[in-house]
Amino acid sequence: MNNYVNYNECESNSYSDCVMDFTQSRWNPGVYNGNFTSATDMNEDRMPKLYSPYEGYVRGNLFPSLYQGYKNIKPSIKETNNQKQELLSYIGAYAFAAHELNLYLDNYPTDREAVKQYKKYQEEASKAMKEYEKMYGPLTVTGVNAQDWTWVNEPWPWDNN
Amino acid sequence: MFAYQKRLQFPINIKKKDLKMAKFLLSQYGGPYGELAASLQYLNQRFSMPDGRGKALLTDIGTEELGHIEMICTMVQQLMKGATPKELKEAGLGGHYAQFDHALYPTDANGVPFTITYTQATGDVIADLENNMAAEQRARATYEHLMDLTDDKDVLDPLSFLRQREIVHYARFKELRDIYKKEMKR
Repeated sequence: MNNYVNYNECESNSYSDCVMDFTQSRWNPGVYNGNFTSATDMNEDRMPKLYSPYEGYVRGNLFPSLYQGYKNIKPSIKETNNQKQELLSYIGAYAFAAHELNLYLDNYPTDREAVKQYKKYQEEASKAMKEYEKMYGPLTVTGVNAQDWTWVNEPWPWDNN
Repeated sequence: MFAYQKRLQFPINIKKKDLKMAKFLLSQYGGPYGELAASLQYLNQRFSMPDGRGKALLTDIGTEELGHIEMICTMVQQLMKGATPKELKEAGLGGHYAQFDHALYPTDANGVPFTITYTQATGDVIADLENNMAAEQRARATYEHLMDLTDDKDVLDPLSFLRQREIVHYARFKELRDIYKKEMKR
């Protein structure tokens, strides 16, 4: 067992059980020193709730308030017994969660709670990427940590695994 | 500048050859509402966004779309893997084989090559963001059509993911449009 097998931090099938509360989140116009032209959109009541990274990743959407399913198709990620794929899914989930907050923060750059949450997810993703690179080779060209140029190693992301 | 990560945004591993589905999926590579058009449109429009929020959002969504191009290409390639010229011909991909063999080429589902005229820019922030909102809706609708055309879970999972991304991007473009409209009193 590696540290990443239990990436599905919420075991429940119920969406609401897997939602994290974002109660501290507030639009706070006083802390941003950017060149906004006016008072901007205050959105005082904005309190976005989030799925857990894995629940959001499966859905392609970290925000329950934005989620819209299609017909009766239940989103899923194929379970795998392969440790390499497990770790890639773990990286995928945390990088995805960070990316979702990244897009949100582009519109609401003064939401400090969201910035904190972004950093948490981003750090977890980079930690897991370093772990992956130690075992399976580079994910970025700067991650080559062998004497040979392992960047060229197969497989590439579009190859069947 | 850009840096590459050697992984897909969402896992794809398709085992079942399906040439007709490969042909349909090309719509999201080089078609009018495809990922290539979306990516180039946002990465181009970002140069005329009025402030850092717009520049950031268009950069970040445009970059994500590059990863979606990669996902669509991965799906097409895996669905076509090992296909003979005869099989390709029977699936309506004979013309594709004649010109490109098993190579990828950005066309729509009917083989019409990608053209940059699929993308829009006006320099007017509201017009551009509203165009992007519409682009995301068109792509969402296309993903729903594609989901109607397959039962293969290996294909449906990444398509569900990509469809949902259109919904999130639409919401972000709309929020930014609303913020700018309010600030600009338009």
